[in-house]
Amino acid sequence: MDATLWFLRQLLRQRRSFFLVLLIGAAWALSLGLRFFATDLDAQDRLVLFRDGVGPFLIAAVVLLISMLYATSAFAQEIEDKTMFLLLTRPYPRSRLLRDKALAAWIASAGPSMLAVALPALTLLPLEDARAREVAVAYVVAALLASTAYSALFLRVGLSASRPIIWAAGLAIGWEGLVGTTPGNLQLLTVQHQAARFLARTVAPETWTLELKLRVPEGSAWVPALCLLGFTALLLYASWRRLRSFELR
Amino acid sequence: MSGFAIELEQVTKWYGPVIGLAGFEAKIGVGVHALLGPNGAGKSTLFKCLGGLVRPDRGRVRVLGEDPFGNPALYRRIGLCPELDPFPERMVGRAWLERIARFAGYGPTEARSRTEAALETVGMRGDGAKRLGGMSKGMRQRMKLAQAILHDPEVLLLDEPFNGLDPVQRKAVIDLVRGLGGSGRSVLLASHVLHEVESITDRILLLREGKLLAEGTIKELRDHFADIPRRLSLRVEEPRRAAAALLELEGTEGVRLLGGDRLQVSTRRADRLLDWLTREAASGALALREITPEDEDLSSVFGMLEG
Repeated sequence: MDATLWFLRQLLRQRRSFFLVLLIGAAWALSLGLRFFATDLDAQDRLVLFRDGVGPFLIAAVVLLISMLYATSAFAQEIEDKTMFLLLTRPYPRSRLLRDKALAAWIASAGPSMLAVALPALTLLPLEDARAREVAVAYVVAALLASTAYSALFLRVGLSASRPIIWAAGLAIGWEGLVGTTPGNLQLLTVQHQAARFLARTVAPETWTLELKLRVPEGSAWVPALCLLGFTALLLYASWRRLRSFELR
Repeated sequence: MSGFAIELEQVTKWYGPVIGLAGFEAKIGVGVHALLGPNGAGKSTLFKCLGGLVRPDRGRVRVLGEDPFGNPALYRRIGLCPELDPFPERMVGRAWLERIARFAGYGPTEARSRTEAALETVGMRGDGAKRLGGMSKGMRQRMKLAQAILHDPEVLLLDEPFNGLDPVQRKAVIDLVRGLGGSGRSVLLASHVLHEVESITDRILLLREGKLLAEGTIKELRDHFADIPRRLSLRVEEPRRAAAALLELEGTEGVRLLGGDRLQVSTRRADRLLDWLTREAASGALALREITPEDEDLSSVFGMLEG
């Protein structure tokens, strides 16, 4: 745990944390703006606005960007700075290195991601309404699931790519942006879609009208959650395979 | 385990089309051994193989009887001071060393006391509170050395440890390395400057283009090329008279007048030449102003060995 905290501190101390504050601030400012300037919206309108507009945007864009910021640099920064040298020549097993790094990247991604979703939810949703509270919780859990999968994905990218943030952005735009908006079951292969499926299952599936036109196949809420966790496990295994044979040249 | 701390058998490492090591073979026991070679000879690749950072494409590497690649238990017994600067620049030196000690498996108290001891050993106790990014080259070099000795390793791999040190620091580090070698540890020291290592050890491994070119004591290596002509540049008061005398000397292959008071002698018997020069200068028969060996840099030595 000591090493995890150390890596976490290192991640959060990076200059790019400025963008993290900016992203969370922008998400919150957006919801504050909607709350105070669109005064003609009643509680029900705000619930629909959050559920169908702000919420999906936060999952598909803000959560993705936050995870990309931290998970790519968990290893990539160490490799670039050559500080990886010191990790690999210590009596510190590579399996533990992966565990501690993955945990740090996950905490750095998931915590701010949940915050970036929770703050707009608290601002926009009529929380005296039990239904709105359910929506808020479901979105925060979806942010957690999405950032978990994204951080595993970008952790793996950071272990291989020489310019990980570019590769990660390519993946995010290419895969999540293009495949995630294609009609058909191909969408199911994207993180944002699985997160949206989770939401659709937990928040009023019968009235779910996502503007992203995501398909929501039948099934329990556990299916997308398990898909995301399975994807995460697969990526962590791929990271382990990579790290086990990693050579610092 | 055999009596050798380090054993390398036919070690070959490629980096794409570039060869890092080409069938390198060596066995290294206790004491200080110097690995000499020009830049790009394969010294750093060899250190990376020994430190478990890269895996050879062919051959066998053993440190203390074990394969070092991905072997964290073995790293407790190896200290590696790299040529590169692996620093988190914004960290304070002392905190960084403490973190290194924690990664080596020590608890907070032990890590702190080992950090202080290592800083003391490398003469950095007073500068430990500085940020790594704000340290001079010499300080950074000593910090790298501190992290290598922090856990009291049995095998020390020091890649260019004298780079950036001023003469006083250099002397201190030379004494430290000599002391470490004398305390039963195996120290492999890489450098491309011959005179630096001459003051520490006479056990030399000469490396070029990834291969072991020669191995032995300095005397053995010098004997190896004693018969090869060597060039010396002299500054004397009467160069023409000196040139005539030098041509009479046994082993002299040629003398060139370079203008002014300078001349260049090529000889197969440098020992005879030096004896003669010393004698003549002492007796006052020759007004000798300067002697400069022209081919005693390492590249020339390699050239001789290859020739």
